[in-house]
Amino acid sequence: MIVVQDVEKIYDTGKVQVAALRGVSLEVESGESMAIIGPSGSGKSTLMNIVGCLDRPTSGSYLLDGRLVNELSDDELAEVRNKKIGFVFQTFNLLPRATALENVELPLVYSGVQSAVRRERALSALERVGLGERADHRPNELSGGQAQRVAIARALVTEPSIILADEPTGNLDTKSGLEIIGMLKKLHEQGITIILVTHNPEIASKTDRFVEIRDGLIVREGKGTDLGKRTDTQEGKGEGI
Amino acid sequence: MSFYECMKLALSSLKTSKLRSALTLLGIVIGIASVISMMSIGEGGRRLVTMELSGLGANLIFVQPDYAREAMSGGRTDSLTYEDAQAMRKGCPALATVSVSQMGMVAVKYGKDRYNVSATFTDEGLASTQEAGLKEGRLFTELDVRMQRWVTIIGGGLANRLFGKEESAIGAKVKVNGQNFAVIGVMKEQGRTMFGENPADMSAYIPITHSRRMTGSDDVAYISCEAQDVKQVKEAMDQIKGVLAQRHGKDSSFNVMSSASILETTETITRIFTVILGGIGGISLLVGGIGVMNIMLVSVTERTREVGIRKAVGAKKGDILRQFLFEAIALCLVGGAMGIILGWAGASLIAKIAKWPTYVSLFSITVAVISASFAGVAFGVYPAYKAANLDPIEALRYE
Repeated sequence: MIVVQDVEKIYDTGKVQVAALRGVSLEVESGESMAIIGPSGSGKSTLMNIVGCLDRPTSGSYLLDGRLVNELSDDELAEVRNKKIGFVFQTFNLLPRATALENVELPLVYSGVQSAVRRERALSALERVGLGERADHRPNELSGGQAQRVAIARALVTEPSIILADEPTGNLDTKSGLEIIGMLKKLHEQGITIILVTHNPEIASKTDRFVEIRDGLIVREGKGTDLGKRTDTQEGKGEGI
Repeated sequence: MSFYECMKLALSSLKTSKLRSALTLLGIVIGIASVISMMSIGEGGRRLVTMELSGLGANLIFVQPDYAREAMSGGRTDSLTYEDAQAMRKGCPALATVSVSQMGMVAVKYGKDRYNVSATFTDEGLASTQEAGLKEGRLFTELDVRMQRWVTIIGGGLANRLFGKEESAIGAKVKVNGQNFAVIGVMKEQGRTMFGENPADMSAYIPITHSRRMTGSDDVAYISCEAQDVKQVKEAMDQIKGVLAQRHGKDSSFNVMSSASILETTETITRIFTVILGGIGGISLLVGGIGVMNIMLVSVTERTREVGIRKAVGAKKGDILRQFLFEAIALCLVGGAMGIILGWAGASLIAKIAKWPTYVSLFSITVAVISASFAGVAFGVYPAYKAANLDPIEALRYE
């Protein structure tokens, strides 16, 4: 379970201080699916980075499964990322010189799994995303949709409780995008917490609920299904809640 | 991440940019090869000098004016003379032989041939030390020296040049610095040395008593003695000091050295020589190491995103540090191994072409291996540290 309380994130660039998050509180139950929406520069990626243990809040607290993340060292954060969180990025972020299988194996390398076991688990993760046949292909030999499925397999392979997807369909055509969303939905049905960062309300509407961020604050919350009815421009009127 | 996996990963990423790795490797190969070959030159020289010195025999004792004191205080030190040698012959029962030596250059002329050669001004002691080296004729007697006879003994090489193979040198009159001298002996040829012709083959012996006229001084550069046997070396040295103190006063200072102590000093000096040569080779290793660091820094920058990805999926700082450090170490170790082979080949080539007795010692290989791994760590640690401390978010965003 994710409990974010009054989290602030201030970037100190020397001359100016930029507040990316100005007191955000959020709770995500285990097994929930949630979307974080908002325009670019709103702070949604910063929030995702904090939730994903890639970054620490400047103030406020973040409890992940009862553990206070603020106080963890860099290495402890790395371990949390390795064990509990799977990332799916807009740009896939696969190692270009490694095969699909090697890419999927990567998190297991850092959790110290034996090479034979690793291979087996990576292969079954690839099969789960329907790419068992492409195990030996390198990212440049895969389509965007396939690459993102490899990334999902990599996120899955450690059997994390949370998957964080940052604009996972941003670089994909509509069809591949829908495939990816369908896949995330299926994972959610299998009990994994899904947090989706997007500026596309259409995609956000597929989740249980959403929070909308603007200028570092949560300005709106609601059920995912509420979003489907609105368009991007109408969304802006929600300000001031 | 296990050691094996780190190594595997390091090698596979080195393989992906083959040309770059090969060129970086070359720097280390040349560095290690030059350390190995330079040290082999020094070591070879050291062994040669040591061998020649130990060939002198363990019962040798050298007596010299204390030139060091002369240099330090600026004052004149006591000089050694032929008379000192005579006194030592009488006053040192532990000594078997005594001979004096003074060096100079003289012009030796026979017919139209004229050679400038090094001359050793010596005395009857030569007979006891160089007997085995005599090819024909005889060596100096006490009378030759005392009576200042116009006699000379010449090296085999010089005899060949002046008289050829057929003509006998013995009894011939040569002009030494314009004066007539009779050749009474010819020394055996000693053959070539590492410097080319052995200077001893192109030299002449002249009675010490001629040295005043020819060099302007009665002084003797050194007196070399042989003790009756090795056990009496110490006793003989004390006797020599006693005689010298008697003749020159208690404050007089002479260096009385046994061959053992000379050997020791020479070993120390030649060892320093080896280390300096190794150090010169080390400079190219340093340059190679900087090349490794340069490439590793480029590599870290290029692979910033890779570092970000690895960190996102759970790589700890140590994992990233090890990954890059192992790449640098792998480069240096592979380069080191190739450098040892190349250095060895270079040493043999030097031995062949320059006729210098190179010697690749276990010590120099150890030095090379240690410096290669040290270079890997030293020049790899900063880039690796830089990579390990990249912020994962920044790294993921890096284009």
